[in-house]
Amino acid sequence: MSLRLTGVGLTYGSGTAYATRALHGVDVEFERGALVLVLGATGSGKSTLLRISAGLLSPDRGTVTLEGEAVGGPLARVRPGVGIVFQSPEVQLFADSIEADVAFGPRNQGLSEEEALAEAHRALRAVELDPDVFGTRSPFTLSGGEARRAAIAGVLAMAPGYLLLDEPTAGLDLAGREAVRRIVAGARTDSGVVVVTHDAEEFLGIADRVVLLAEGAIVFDGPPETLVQEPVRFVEAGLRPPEVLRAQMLARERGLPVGSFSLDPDEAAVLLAGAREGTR
Amino acid sequence: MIEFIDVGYEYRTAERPVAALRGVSTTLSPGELVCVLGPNGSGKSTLARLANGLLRPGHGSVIVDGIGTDDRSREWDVRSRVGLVFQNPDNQIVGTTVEEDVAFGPENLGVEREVMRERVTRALETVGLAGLEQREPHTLSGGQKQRLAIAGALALSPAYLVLDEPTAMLDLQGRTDVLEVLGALRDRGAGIMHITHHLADAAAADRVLVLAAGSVAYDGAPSRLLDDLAMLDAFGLTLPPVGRLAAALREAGAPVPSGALTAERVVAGL
Repeated sequence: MSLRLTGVGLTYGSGTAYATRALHGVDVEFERGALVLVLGATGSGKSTLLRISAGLLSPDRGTVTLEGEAVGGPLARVRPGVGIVFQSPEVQLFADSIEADVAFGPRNQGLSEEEALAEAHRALRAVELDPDVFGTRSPFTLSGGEARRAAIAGVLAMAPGYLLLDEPTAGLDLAGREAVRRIVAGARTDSGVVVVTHDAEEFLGIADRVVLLAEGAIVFDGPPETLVQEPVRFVEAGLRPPEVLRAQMLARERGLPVGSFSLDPDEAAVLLAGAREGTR
Repeated sequence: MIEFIDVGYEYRTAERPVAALRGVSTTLSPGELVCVLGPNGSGKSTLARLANGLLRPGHGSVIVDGIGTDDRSREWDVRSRVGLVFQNPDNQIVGTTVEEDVAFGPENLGVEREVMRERVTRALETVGLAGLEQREPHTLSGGQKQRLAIAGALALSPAYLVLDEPTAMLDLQGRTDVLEVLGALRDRGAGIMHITHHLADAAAADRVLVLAAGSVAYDGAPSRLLDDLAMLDAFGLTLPPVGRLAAALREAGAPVPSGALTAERVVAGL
């Protein structure tokens, strides 16, 4: 069970003076039950990759298969089974009540009013919004973090096999970011989850796999731990490594015998303090 | 100087008024970079909108270089002194080219053509967008767009710049570039109020203001706040991982400078 891109490429404005090669030769597989973090600098092709995976864009080259079957074609359509949460999705909340907003998707999928509402309530609980408290409230009375979670519930209510999220924590405060991170981590029990972000620090600790994009191509696809031990790969992809890793890289550059790296600040402190002792 | 004196503000909703700010007194001086922190709903954005008279205080007063923002006859004096930049640059860009977008403000105020040209050039140089005058704004990166929005505000030559989470939608490079511009503006004598929820941004500020539930919870030096884990905890602020690394190293006896929130500063003394 997977969502798979094979040899995928896309050039925007092809044949014009403004032609921009957004993606080329991309082979990647997203599996159910796994959380994949897609990292890359601005303009590396992250959003294009997400849109092609969701069927909102058709690639010029290559194929996309969902559960083994080829999908897509000249008309890009949102695929059933793949849900996408755009950046700042809360601006798309539109209904009079939160539960009506969240029930919109499942109702469009053909569920009865009652079933759609039940799905909406399940999704609201999944994003930590009690339907008894929030269900009948207007979306406009929500805080930024609550609105973000309600918008994510709108996609979860359609029970997507694959959940794709573009910068899900951008613009939220700490409590909001933590809640979204919990929700995203929990979503992998039902779906394959793909998170696109430029903030590696936030999701590296909970990801099962990391895909690193640079100039439209995949330059790394593997476990987060490998990336943590080779932080120079971030630099090669035009990204700044998480600050804790950068501190360890700098310490090593300055001649401290730093053996292995850690993303965890307490562990990193032990490693750095140990290296410092070693030089004295 | 911008003075907030015992400022209160309520939003009217259908059900009941909601207090956004209560008894807030603080200042912003020329040549000062003040970072405003606080959770969502703490009143940060309301404070920004009060600073240039976009909102008028329900209680107390806001005074900009001696002019009260409730004096409607001097509204434009206040607005021209205090520039406002918001979170989403896409909502603030109006021109079809970079140059045109920056010229929009001065043009509307009837600034002479030659003066306007010079201001546009200078504003674009300040934010590091010189050379991109003829680009269409939508072809810029997020960080470039936000710097364009800042240039648009600078073209009006404000004495103060208030920015409401200008880096929230940006990647790390974009954030770093915007922060550099803010520091440079401060060095040239502008008063900068930077509203953010990145605690790390506070390290570069001259002063930090923490709002909690509409009141001032802290107003002072960044280092005292950043080194005090208990105080941060009480304000619902959490150190970024690199700050926790700094604290753990300090505890292990390593000489880590106060308020260290960058890799460079953390390893400086190792």
